Amino acid sequence: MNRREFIQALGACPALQALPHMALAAGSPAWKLGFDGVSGDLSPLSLKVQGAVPEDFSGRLYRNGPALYERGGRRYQHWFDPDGMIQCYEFGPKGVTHQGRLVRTAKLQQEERAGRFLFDGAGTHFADALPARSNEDGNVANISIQPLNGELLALWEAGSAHRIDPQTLETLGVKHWSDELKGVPFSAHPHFDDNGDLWNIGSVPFGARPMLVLYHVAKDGTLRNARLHQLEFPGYMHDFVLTPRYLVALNNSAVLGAGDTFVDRMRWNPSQPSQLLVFDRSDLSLQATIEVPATFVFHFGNGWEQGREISFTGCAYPDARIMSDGMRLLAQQQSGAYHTGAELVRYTIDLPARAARVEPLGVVMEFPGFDQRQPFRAQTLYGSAGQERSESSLGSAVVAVDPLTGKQDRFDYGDGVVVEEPLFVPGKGNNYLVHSYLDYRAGRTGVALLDAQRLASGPLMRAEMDRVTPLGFHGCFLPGADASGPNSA
Amino acid sequence: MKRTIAGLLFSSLYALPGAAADVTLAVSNIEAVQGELRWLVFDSAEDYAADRNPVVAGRSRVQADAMAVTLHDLPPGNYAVKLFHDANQNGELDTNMVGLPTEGYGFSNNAGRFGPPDFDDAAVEVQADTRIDVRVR
Ligand SMILES: [Fe+2]
Repeated sequence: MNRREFIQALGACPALQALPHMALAAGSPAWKLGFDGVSGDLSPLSLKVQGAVPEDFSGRLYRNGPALYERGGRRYQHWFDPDGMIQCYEFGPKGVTHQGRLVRTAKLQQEERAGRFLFDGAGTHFADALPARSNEDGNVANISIQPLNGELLALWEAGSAHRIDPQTLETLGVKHWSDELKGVPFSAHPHFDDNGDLWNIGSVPFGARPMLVLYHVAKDGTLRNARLHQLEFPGYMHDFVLTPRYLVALNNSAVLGAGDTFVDRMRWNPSQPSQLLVFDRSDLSLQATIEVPATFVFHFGNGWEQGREISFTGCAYPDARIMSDGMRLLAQQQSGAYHTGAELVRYTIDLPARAARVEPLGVVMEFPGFDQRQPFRAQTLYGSAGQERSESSLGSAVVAVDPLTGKQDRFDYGDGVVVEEPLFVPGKGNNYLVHSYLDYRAGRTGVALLDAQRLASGPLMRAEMDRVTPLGFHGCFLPGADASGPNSA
Repeated sequence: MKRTIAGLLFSSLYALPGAAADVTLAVSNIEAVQGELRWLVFDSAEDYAADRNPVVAGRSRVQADAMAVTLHDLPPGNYAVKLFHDANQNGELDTNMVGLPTEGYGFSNNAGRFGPPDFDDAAVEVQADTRIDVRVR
């Protein structure tokens, strides 16, 4: 009997389920692989391609996400905690390659030298954690990566962005906007206008008074304007909406109170209505504060204006359990009742009337994205879906939704697959949807390409590798056939 | 006996009854070898909270990422130390647009998780010669 047969025989014998390690295996969800994490960089690897990479599709998919879960025998307990890793999938004539590189934050370097976690995570408290100078000490740069002026920015939401070399994935340093913005939160969801300028929020619920910073950065990377606003309450804010004339943020009804960690302190408060905050892009001044029923939104679709109305979509949760419970159980690799999925809703603000409608579109989805060439048009949204029936509570499908009618097109990979954020990539003929995924039954991470107009017919191409990489959050696709990319090094 | 500026300042302010002690501030984790380290020592919660009437106020050039400063002849009592690294030598603990510190600082007992600690958390009892470790955060 070889080792494999022996293990299979063990599994067939119920009495042996009582062995401690077997009990652990039985209790661990199959998807746990996606949250095992890494201990270092992931060297370049060629993927096995099924189907063919279309001729008009080349470039790099960059993604960011929490990756380093353990150090010195201790493990983070929340998905927001681990140090970020940039993963790059490169599509070219030679096929598809992948590599991953941890963002060399000051925190990571200090902890590497110390051999242990020195600081608390967003959702994990260590009894011997060092007191932090400010939010910036906990900067793990683990939420997104977006391009700006020939570089990439690895984004967190409670501190500075980190500059990343698109060729080597090396960390070039902290992005400096101005002296007075040093260490000020810069959210992970900047948005680009039709001129290529970048707009962002920075949420500071933990300040002496709750504050929101607004940023306008020219496409050459220089700061155009930054403005500070006091908030009426310290709600959680992760993303916002850009329209031709306005910047709209939602002050969520998860509100900062007392507790051991940032996540513990962010308590769902259904008696606190959420607030839509409408700012004028021209001077970043507050134009209106409009109450909507208590909600919790991480992500918004794009925004458009029509007459006196401002419209946009968002993935709205009925409460904050996704952050307080769901993301904790995922990082702890525990099965359980997670949370209710996010439903896509359409917001319509009547600005002169200072009123807003919120209408459900009948689809559970997350990680909304769109064709960034037309940021201000009512247009198809793409996202991951199927959260409401998956084992992990994460999406197993890609979906396209019309934000006016709710009409859907989708492809479901079925049980055993977690779909990561899909991105719209314009091609010469077809338009594509590209996304990474984890096939946790097979123990493989991969990337898939679909025809954006015909999701239901399934992937045009899948490419997989003989390793599992940590499930992450957001990224970007940069087109181009440059053969000297990071993975060919 | 070699005296620091702080020691001289202190002895000029106080006539000492009874046994006095030397306190060594052992400061570590200074971010960059530039500028000055500035410290304030308080013996009451009121003065500590208001940044008023320090029993010792001193400063010294930063010449390494760790340094020891001796405060001479403190009378027995409870003392709390606040210090900061004035890297650009403008005399202030610099903050950013939202009021968060951008220069290093620290407290005795390395107290305080979210913001500055109370006097009681930072206070150190001095009866004899004492070493106070402060890790600049
Ligand atoms: Fe996000």
